[in-house]
Amino acid sequence: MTTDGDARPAPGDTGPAPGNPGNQGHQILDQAFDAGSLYALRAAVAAHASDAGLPPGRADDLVIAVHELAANAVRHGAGHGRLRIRRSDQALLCEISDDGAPPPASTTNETAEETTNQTDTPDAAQWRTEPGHGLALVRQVADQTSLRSGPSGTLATISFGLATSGPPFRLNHRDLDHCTVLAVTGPLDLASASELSQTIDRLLTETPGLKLVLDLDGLAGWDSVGLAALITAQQRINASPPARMVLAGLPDHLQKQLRQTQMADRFTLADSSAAAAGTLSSEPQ
Amino acid sequence: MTIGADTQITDLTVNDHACLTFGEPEDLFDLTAAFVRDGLDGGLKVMWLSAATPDRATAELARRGVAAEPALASGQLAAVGFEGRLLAGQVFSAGQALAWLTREMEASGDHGLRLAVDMSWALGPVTGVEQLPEFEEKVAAAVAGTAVSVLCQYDRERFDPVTLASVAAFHTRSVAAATYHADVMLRICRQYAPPGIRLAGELDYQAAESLALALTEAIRLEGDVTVNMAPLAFIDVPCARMILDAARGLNPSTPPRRMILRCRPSLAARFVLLGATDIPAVSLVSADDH
Repeated sequence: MTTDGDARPAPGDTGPAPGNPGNQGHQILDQAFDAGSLYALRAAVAAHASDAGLPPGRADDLVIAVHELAANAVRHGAGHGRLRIRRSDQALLCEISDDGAPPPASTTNETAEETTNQTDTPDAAQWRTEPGHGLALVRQVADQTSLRSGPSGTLATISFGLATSGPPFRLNHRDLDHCTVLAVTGPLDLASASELSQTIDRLLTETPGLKLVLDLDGLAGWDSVGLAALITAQQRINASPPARMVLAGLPDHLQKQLRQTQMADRFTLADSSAAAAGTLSSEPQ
Repeated sequence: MTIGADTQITDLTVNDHACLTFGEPEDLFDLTAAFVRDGLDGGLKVMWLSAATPDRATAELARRGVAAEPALASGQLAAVGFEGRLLAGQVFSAGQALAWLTREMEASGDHGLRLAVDMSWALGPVTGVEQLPEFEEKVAAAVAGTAVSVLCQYDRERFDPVTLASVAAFHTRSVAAATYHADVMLRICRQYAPPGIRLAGELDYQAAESLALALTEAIRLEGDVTVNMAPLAFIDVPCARMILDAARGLNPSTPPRRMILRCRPSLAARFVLLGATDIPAVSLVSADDH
């Protein structure tokens, strides 16, 4: 069994970590699936995500995560499986079970992943393939992921924290030791990520050689659009030397998630804005 | 019955009297934009008769990469309505419409003329609409042996099969968007302006073979490849990966070829997490940015 990822705070959540295995809630969906019913499965998940109050970006993330795990069960397991969703006050807990044969021993103890493109078209066959992307994406978007394979099949469990009231998204600027500190408060998600991107673009235009501290201490939840905004912001900074950016005050779960999904290497991380400013100020122009 | 398509819009030449059938407005604008673009590039005068206002028609062409404004300003391009050309009020006369066409052909002289005609006018309460087959027959005779090509545009969902069959015989070619996959969940078709493919609906690994064929044909053409996913609500990881693998495989030629991925923000984020922005050839464009 592999387990990775602690529950992360939902947008606005300041309470206990959601997805606590000890609080598994009540079942709201029990649906069998096979290759022909993956669309219906996605539609059901989207409906329950919306009903549970997941913001649109997080709902899309839940749908892709469930789909990838269900598709794995269809393609590499018995060809069919079952999805059960339980809802607690704090999280949606999704179990995707596959009653079929476990993956070959060579795939270790994780679910088997797609290893080839599903085509024999000559040009397509030359395209590079990398196994594991589906599962990697699940780990990037879910709060908690666990996979267990055995003689009776594979059980994948993912949890998505539910939103509670919290501060709205807000960006604040300040100067610190010749650096620009941009502090993010609230959720960084589908609704807010474009504002962060536009603000960083503007700062880059206004300030050649920008030294930017992106202070995420007040971050309260994120979705894949928010994560993508951090990645593309770093890439814009990289493309504008000598501009530099340091991410400061990351919530523990985000830091752990970035590390476990190989995204941390893209960024320079610091514990606090002061430490980040110190890092940037000590670098030569 | 629908008219079988045997020609790509980009293969039309002078002399053609082609019948384009389309199923949705996006197809109509896409195919028309390619027809107009190729005509302008070839130095021909180009005219598009449609129910759209000139501003809308021009905007739709410009959105698909056609340099419509300068061509309009120079008189090389005209986007006009039916009145005074095919119709006089709500009356259609094959003879008068042909007389108008003849004048336009003469006015274009040796430069040649490309004429696209949206036939939706014939769906309205028009007196004389029964002369439509006669008109098509006369157009076929008029353009034979000239430097003029005419593209008649029929909505296959709205024209009845009898009418489509009655006019089919008078066209030298039939044209439709190349479609690689079409069912209630998903449509994968070629996009002509800008060149690439268009994906609509929900796409998962079960349609990977169709996607591979569409991508393979798109990247065999020269120039940038647009993957228009604006109407796509879902894409799974294997299909997203296939698109990115195709982008990685674009030859490092001069000038460099790009793959433009146009999609909703949540799908764009999925591509970013899968490494799209690490691929030099990829440009991610929000579907909100027209």
